[in-house]
Amino acid sequence: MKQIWIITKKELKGYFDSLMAYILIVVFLGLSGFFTWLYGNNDVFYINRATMQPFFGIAYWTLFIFIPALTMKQIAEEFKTGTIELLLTKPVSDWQVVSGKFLATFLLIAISLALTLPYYISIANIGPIDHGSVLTGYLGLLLMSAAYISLGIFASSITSNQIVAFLLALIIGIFFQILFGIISRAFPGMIGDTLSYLDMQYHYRSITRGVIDSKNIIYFASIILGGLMASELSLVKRNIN
Amino acid sequence: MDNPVIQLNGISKKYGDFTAVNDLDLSINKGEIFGLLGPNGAGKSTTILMLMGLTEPSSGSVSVCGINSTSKPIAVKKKVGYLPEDVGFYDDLSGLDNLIYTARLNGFDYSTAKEKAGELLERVGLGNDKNKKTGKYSKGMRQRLGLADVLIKNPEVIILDEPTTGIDPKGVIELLSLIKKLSVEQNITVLFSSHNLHQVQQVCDRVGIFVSGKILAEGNIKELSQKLFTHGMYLIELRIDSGDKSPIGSEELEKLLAPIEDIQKVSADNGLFQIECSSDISSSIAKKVIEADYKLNLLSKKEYGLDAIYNRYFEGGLSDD
Repeated sequence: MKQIWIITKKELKGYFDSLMAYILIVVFLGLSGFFTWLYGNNDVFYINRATMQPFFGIAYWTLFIFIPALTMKQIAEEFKTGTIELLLTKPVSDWQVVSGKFLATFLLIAISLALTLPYYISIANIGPIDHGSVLTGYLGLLLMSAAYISLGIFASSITSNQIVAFLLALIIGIFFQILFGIISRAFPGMIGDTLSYLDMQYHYRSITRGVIDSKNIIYFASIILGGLMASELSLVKRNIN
Repeated sequence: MDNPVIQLNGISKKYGDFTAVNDLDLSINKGEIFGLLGPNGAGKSTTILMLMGLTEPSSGSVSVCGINSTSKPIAVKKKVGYLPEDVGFYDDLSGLDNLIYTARLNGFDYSTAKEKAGELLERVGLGNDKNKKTGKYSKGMRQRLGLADVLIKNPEVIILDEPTTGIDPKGVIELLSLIKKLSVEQNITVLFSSHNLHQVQQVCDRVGIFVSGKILAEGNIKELSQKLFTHGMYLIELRIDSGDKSPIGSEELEKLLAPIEDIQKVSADNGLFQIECSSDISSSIAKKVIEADYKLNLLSKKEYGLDAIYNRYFEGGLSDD
């Protein structure tokens, strides 16, 4: 765990040193703030209700785009600059490398989300708010982010080109975000059910509605673990070659 | 007495139909500097990867400091420092920060890591540049930082894979003397992989000639010479003026020199005598020739070094065996 934390701290510092973190935070807060408060259509004042749903809606899509931009360099850059050799010849396992990088990006997202807490406080002051659904909304965003970070790190582990890693993460994300849901409607029965189960929006919506079902948790946990394990395998395979 | 720190027993590594390393046996003792000499693609780097536990052998076993590299790679990496040909560092971090990071990964707490990193940067001559970002380091500076990175964990074994590529001659001399010093003073075992014969000959106690995934020969330079050049590792050439006496032939010369030990073969070619011998006996030969009332017009001595050994292997010399 100590090795994972050392890698996490270095990566997190790297985000802030390269301004990436500041750009993410400013753009994320700007976009989510605009759509939550000012958009004029479906914002808090427009729907005239103390709810965080406008925020959760925009945050879901914003993070979907931002996360591949954060993960694209995580491992691809290490291969490109040769630092992967430096890292893997130290007493750290491939799993620790992958986990450390995952945790760094996850913490950056968590920090960004924590900075939106004033939205919650403000809305709660405007009128009665369902605190439970706010809590599960944030949980949903964190789980969804963790899943896309995991997939993004996997995309970054199979190429040395950051742009390829970004596009690959986005394409994989589009399947989970949109395509599985659409395709599932074309298939009746078990295939349709399976594809529908893979649709991330379905699970995200369930959680943000305040329903924390074990099948949603298992879904997110499977993607997170699957992505990290695939990244680890990819590292092992690229070491060999 | 043998005290193997690196032990490879019948290891092979196959990628599909291609065999990168073929049934390799190798043993390197504590404090020894072993040169792994071979052309590109010979399997040197694959062997190093297996030693570090970064790839698994298809068959055979690898151990470093008594630890199985395949089953316990992390434990091996704690004891082994590795310096590749082209060291990658985080260009946006300073030399000091890079070293602190790797020291932390090697298990040191922050204050110890910082202290050790500072000391080592001074030792490798980067004290004045420690706060400079490594993106601005020259190739030689990066290799020196790489050596500091290797040393920061107090390794028992150092693996150097073409470490002097791209470094200026002065830097090479400094690096090689530092390696030699470390081996002698701290009894560190060094595996030096290179295709630079001169450098290998300069620092290594023993050499393994590695071709197509196999070690063709191993030993110190003298042993390899004796093995390859069956008529001796020295070639002494003579041109003799017989004066008023009848011209001397190779048989007469062989009889004349018979009392001298270590002569392997005497031959003549167009008046030039060639004497192959296992030790440097040029002064004894000169003395015998002059005592026999001949005039010595020319005497030259050639010692077969690692370059001759290497050429012998790669230019058809193998068939001579």
